[in-house]
Amino acid sequence: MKIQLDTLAYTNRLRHVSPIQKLVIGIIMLCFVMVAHAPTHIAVFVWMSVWIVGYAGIPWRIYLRLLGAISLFLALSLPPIMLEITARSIAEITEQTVFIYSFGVFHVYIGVAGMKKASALLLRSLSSVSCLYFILLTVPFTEILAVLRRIGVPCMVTDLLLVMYRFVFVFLETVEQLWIAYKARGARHGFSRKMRDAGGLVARLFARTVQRYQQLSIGLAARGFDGDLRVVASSHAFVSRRYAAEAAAVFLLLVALEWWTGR
Amino acid sequence: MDWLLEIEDVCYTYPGSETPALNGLTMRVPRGKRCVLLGHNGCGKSTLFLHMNGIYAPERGVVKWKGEAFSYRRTFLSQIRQKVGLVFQDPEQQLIASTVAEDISYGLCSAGLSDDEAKRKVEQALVRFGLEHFRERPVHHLSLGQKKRVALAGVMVLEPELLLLDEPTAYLDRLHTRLLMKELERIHREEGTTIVMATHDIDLAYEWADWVFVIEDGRLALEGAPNEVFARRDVLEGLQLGVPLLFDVWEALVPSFFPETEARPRNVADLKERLARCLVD
Ligand SMILES: Nc1ncnc2c1ncn2[C@@H]1O[C@H](COP(=O)(O)OP(=O)(O)O)[C@@H](O)[C@H]1O
Ligand SMILES: [Mg+2]
Repeated sequence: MKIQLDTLAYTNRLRHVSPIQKLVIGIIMLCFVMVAHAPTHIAVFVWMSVWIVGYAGIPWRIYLRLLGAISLFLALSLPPIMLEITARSIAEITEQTVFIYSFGVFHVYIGVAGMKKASALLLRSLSSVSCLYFILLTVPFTEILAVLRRIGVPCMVTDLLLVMYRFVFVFLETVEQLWIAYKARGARHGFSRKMRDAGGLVARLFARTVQRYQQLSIGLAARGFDGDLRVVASSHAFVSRRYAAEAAAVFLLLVALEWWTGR
Repeated sequence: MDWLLEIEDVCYTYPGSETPALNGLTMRVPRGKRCVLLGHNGCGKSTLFLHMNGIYAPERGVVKWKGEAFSYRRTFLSQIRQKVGLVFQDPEQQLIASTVAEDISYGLCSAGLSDDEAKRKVEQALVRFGLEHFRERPVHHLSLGQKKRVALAGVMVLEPELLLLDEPTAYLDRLHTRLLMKELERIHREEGTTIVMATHDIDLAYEWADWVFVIEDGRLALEGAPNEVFARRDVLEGLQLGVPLLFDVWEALVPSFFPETEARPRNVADLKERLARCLVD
């Protein structure tokens, strides 16, 4: 999934829009979501999805899959919020319930209030996730780093992040190579054998990763790396007037919507 | 001759390994020449390169740059790494930045170039290595051969005095091998760069080199101009390296078609031309 996010960030249609502009839009919307309420959340979610699928040209299947992955986590976290448990008799449950299940003296139920709380949370999460995805899918990691550098984050931190980022891909490639080699040389059947193979693979993965890490540091040394990673930013990013205008206009509409529904 | 880099009686054993990777190796790299380092897998070529830019320090013996022994201090090492450019066999090992253009530009800023100049150089390098279309692509999207070209471009754009290439053609197809050779030709002619290329492609070595080193088990087995080295058929066959195809062909032709005194052809085109002339006569 990580590889895919990164690939899309480099190839999407908003690639040449200034990273600062995209980051500003994403972050302002993220902050706005924090203070806004349910109907506005839906609007933000829809609008951000339009940016992602419409303007950036991210295939909607991929976007849906990404949302699905997050929804799974959200779904797992909802039951504790919705479910109530009580040892009192059913007659004493004062609030409206949607669902009730009893065993012995205990009653497990979902109250209407719990439902509301959970759905508000779900909406808030989804709309903030859409803002986050907008940033992740349209701004490549290196450009985020460049912006961080520009606003004064120490070079040591950003260079460290960059080397870590490179290393993540070296690691993922090692995983993939080992996995392909394992399958190409005849993966064995049967659960216990598979588990034993997996154990062996993990051990080899560790050894290979350490080795590749050493090699990468030798390679960096050979190129004269001494903690200072200066490169010429290659892209000719520009601030898009059209997107800026739309962002400002829709943002004002959203604020108005929030004010009107929040009264 | 004028020596750029000298290796004197260098020994090196990897930690945890029993046999030494370099075992009393002595060799001198002549300035301004195109050198080839021939040898089997595991004979110590890569290890030798890592000594030539001070990544590894020898256990015994000395490495000298223009007659001055390596000191292995920080300032010395950073200077030597600017003068000696090393392209690894495995490109994965030396790609730093995340897009192709950014990676090639690495080092240009530290070398004191302005941003505009750096951009121009990067652009030239992209064209020379056929990488224009990959400019903004992240490095991990490329194939192995493409990564190799990025690594080559990134080191060659810095115009080091000594360029070390560890099996540069290993992952390249014919087209890109030819582009690489053309580029090597150019920097050798225009910048006077000394080049050392490790390879086991004996035909390529014969066609291209001015000077040949043959390494076996961490020692120097033979050294000299290509004509002299490849004439030592007995030694080369003993090392299982063989002699270049062109050399063999010439040897078969010499007494009957050409006089023994005639200089050997260095590439196929040369041989063809001479054969054509010979047939016309
Ligand atoms: N990291 C290492 N650890 C232990 N032994 C190594 C390591 N790298 C290389 N060697 C050993 O050192 C010898 C020389 O290797 P190398 O210089 O890579 O050869 P070449 O590049 O000529 O193929 C080989 O026998 C190899 O097994
Ligand atoms: Mg090698």
